Amino acid sequence: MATLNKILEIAAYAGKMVLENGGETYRSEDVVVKICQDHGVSADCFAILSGVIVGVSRGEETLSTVIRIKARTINLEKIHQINDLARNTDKFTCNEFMSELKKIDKTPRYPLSYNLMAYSITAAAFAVLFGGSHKDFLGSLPIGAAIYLLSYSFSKYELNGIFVNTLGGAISAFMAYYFYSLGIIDNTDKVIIGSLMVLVPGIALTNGIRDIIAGDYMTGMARGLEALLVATSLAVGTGFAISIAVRGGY
Amino acid sequence: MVIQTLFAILASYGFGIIFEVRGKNLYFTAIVGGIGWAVHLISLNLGSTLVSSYFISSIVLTICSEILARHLKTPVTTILISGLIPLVPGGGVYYTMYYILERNMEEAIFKGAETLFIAGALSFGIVVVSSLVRIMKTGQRNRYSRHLPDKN
Repeated sequence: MATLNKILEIAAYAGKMVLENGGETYRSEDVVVKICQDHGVSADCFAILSGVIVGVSRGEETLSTVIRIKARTINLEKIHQINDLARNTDKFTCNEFMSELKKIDKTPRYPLSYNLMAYSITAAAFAVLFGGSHKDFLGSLPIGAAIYLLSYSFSKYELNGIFVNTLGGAISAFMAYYFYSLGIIDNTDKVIIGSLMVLVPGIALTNGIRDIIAGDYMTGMARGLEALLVATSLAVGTGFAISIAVRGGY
Repeated sequence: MVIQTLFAILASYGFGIIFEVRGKNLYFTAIVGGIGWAVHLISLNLGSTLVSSYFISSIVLTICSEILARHLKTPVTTILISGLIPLVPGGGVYYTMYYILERNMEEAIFKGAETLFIAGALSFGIVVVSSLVRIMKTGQRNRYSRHLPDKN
């Protein structure tokens, strides 16, 4: 029989991992409650984007914990693995479960070259979807790669997103105008928005509205606000770069 | 239109890698993204309005993702998020803020309202399908059922 403390520890850790890797708040709550119930203790969980509160009780004993979430990325592979693990809680003891969770946490990301390719292909594909020509497709490839290199090199400093996004917007606009002056691309606006699609918060906005419909007003508002802030910083960056480029005579 | 769909598949595939989708899931999420965009284009061609075409494509997309997720034994999110990428109004959010900074308020309000409606249509499509799936597998709880009283 596992101690209550141990159960609380693994459940809260799993909930924290779901949120840190871009899972929805309801999924985090479900995972925590499911793990606790499989161990035969009653539990409740409250998760928002920036933290989880878990309380478990068995008999006379009640424990609770708070975990603050500082950084979030999207890593759907980890969500998939945690989901699998939470379904098979009964096959592991608490210590084994914890080591499984740690193992999932250490799953390596795709290598740098894959990500470079993905960013450039996505940027180029969106330039065409927004109505660009084949020249715009080729011109967007290096801009997408540049945006990835920028966000990758700044990711280790743990800066907030606004700074990186403003810089990303400025770089994409500068490069687009430069390529336009060289005659590599046809439409600057299509290339700029295409290459910014890897940064713009469309998913955040859609998920925010989904959360609001489901009754998670706190999460929904937080996601909507995040979307607005990211879009503003991108627009500031590109606006700045475009006004300089236009004045510079490109 | 075929070319547009191919590029939508490419965009979903790229985003799948960025979001760390792996193995078979990656190919399926790319295909689902293509299906969503193709449905959007077809319904626009058949004369539906912009917002309703997004609603229809979001419904088709979510149905495909739900079926595939059952088959691949993975959470629906894995397939849905990257598949939704071509439809999502990221450009709209950006343009809204851009027009506001340019003090072009008329365009900003127009674009902002359109973006909000598109995002609403997409999420409403997802909610409709998820709720129907819940009705089909009765007894299981899901996020859209949490305000209903528990039967037990």
